[in-house]
Amino acid sequence: MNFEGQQILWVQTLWGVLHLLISSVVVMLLMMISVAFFIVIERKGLGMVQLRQGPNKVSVKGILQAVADGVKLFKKEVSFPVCLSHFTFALGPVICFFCAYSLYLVFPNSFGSNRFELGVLFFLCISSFSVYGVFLVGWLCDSRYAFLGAMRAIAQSISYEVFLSTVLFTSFLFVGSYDVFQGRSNEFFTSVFSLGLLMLWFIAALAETNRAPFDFVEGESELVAGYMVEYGGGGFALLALAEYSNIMFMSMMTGVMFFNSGMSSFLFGDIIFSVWVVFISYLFVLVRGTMPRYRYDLLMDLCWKILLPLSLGMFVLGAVICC
Amino acid sequence: MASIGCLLRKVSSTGVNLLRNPITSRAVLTSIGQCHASHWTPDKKFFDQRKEKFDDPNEINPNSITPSENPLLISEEKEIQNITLNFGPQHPAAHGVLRLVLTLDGEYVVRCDPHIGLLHRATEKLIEYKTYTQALPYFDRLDYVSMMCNEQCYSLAVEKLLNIQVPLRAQYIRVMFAELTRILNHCMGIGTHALDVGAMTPFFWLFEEREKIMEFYERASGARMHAAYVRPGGVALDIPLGLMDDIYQFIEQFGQRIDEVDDVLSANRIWQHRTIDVGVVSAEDALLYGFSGVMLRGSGIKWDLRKQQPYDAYDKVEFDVPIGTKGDCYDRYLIRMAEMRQSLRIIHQCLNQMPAGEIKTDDNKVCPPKRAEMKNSMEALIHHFKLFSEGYNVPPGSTYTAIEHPKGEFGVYLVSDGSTRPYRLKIKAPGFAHLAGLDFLSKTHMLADVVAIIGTLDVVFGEVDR
Repeated sequence: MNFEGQQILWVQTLWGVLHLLISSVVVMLLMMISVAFFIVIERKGLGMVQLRQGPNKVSVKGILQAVADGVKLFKKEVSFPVCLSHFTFALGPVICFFCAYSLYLVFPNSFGSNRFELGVLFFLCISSFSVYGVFLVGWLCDSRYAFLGAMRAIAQSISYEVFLSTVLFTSFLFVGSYDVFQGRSNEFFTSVFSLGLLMLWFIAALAETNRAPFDFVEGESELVAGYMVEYGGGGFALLALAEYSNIMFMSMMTGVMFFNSGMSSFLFGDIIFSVWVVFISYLFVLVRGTMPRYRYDLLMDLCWKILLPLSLGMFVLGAVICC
Repeated sequence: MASIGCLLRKVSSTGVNLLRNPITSRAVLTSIGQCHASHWTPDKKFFDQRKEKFDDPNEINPNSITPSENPLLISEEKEIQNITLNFGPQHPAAHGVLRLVLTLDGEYVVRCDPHIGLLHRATEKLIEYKTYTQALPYFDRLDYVSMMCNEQCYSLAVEKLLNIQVPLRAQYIRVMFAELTRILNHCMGIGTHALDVGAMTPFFWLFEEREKIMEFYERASGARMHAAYVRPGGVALDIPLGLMDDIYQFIEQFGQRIDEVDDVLSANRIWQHRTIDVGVVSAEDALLYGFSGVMLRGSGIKWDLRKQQPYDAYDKVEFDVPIGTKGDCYDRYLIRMAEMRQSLRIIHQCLNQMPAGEIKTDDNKVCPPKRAEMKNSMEALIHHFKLFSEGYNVPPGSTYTAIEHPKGEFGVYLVSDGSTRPYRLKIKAPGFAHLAGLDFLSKTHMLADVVAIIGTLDVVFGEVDR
């Protein structure tokens, strides 16, 4: 290879790194903005369900409410527990946020973020790792409510990881690849089978994101705020960001698995895809508005005795159909 | 990752253990003793002092023992203790100021110890220094979600000692508002119960209805909550024109509101899982613990003071008393729903049967005269002045008068020595007995069930602490 060729390679590498950096920053910004709007959607949606207004004062119709809340949270004074080093206290939210953010590396948009061939596996790895963040947050801050929340988080995620990945693999059997992009463009059949799978997946997604019927980790009326009870200001903001971006990501995965546009890399495909994502994330809000909270031992019963056998059956059935 | 977590935990626990070192804690105590303020709270200076005394667990201190020799890091057999959880008084499910000291085994409750008294205002003692008229508003503030029922009980007690008869119209107005109050109370009870179990929405729907009932309160008495409307001798004022029409409109649509809540909760699998077989009270236990009201009827005992010893106009209206079979939270929820429907029935009958006539007894030694009368009659003016300055004398004697309050049997034990002030007044609040049963109700249940059980007890701390 001559000097010119080496130079071209060097420029290419630099461009690659730069591209990665820029796209990461752009994705992070977009993620935060979408979370902000999702929070507004949630509050507005709950307001509609509960016959009340929801936020309607900040800017036009309250759409910047979440932005204002975020600014307020980060401006707040950070308080640390007396008996704990600041580093360990701050570590938990950072891990939570980092896990939630790194999921977005597999976000299948057409504005060149990185294309993983093993995106689904990456998603599974990160989502099982993210429980460590919750666990650290709950365990290290020396509060009994938070400790109980952390215990619940672990019990819940151990139960649900198996179920979730079974459902995930069943749907990707039809794609024939671990690439999330491929999933998005795949002409996945919409039969009764797929519908049943969708229901199972939605339950798994609710449990995975600690949402309404399964929000034991922070169950307000039992554990006050659960694992995040000691956090305020910036730490709380990071945890809330992580949680809501997980919801956005799970709706996105649902979009990838079940509601594909058939158009992979066009802007139009992106738009249709986004509409689906918003629709599914709105379902999360509606579920929160209608369901009471389950109890976590009942949830584990439900998982091990009903949902896991069902999903394994689905997996076998799917494998038979694919072959 | 697990090992990192373990390491972090050990590092931080070292820090905690350093804090628990007896020598250093003595140093902390002296610094507290130097503070001269009567109420001392830790300030920044205190924490800075502590920082100097203790090592930062993240810094490697050359004087500290190396990890391999550190006795704290050598695993040894340890005694396992149950977690003691301080539940409340600022807990969102504490229904005001309930403080529970829970002993937990995992998440199972071993012991549940309610601590009360955080809302104690010495109402009973204060009443001894007030005239009978002035004592009435204290009853609004006892159980502050069913105000008029408290007033009704007190008024009945005073009337019994005075030996006076209340006009029929006043009786019907009382019954009508008592049943509106029952709806008011059960809206709150079911709403917060659902909220405790995690269903937010019914709470908001029911509070919308409560707001309408409070408007009726306001139109009748001028106050949304603390009405002071039902008074010894009748009611304070006649109900305004058009109120009965609006109450009719309200009860016509309220059945549908109950249906909506029914749709969201009654058949909901999660709701059933969370409430069926939770907090079971056997009929025997219910009697032994002195439960009353829904807590008693939930266990299958048909006991309703409105039927057993009718007061006011309850003997003139028809209604059924719903009872449960199992005595669990679900039964009690269903009973509350059914009682709201029965209340609608009673209100409907009251509206139809409402007679014309006086709303106060015409004994001006007890009841203030009409405003118009005072303008021309000197005697009326004197009566008014006497009643609102000195008060009226109640013949000596004692009475225990109880009514079927929305929460259970609400009783007033009143002793009069013939003066214008009660000699002694003891209030029997249903919530107090129910709260005493919380320990046996929540044993072997999980933490989440304790919350559901508190919801089903329907305690309000205004009456428990008095």
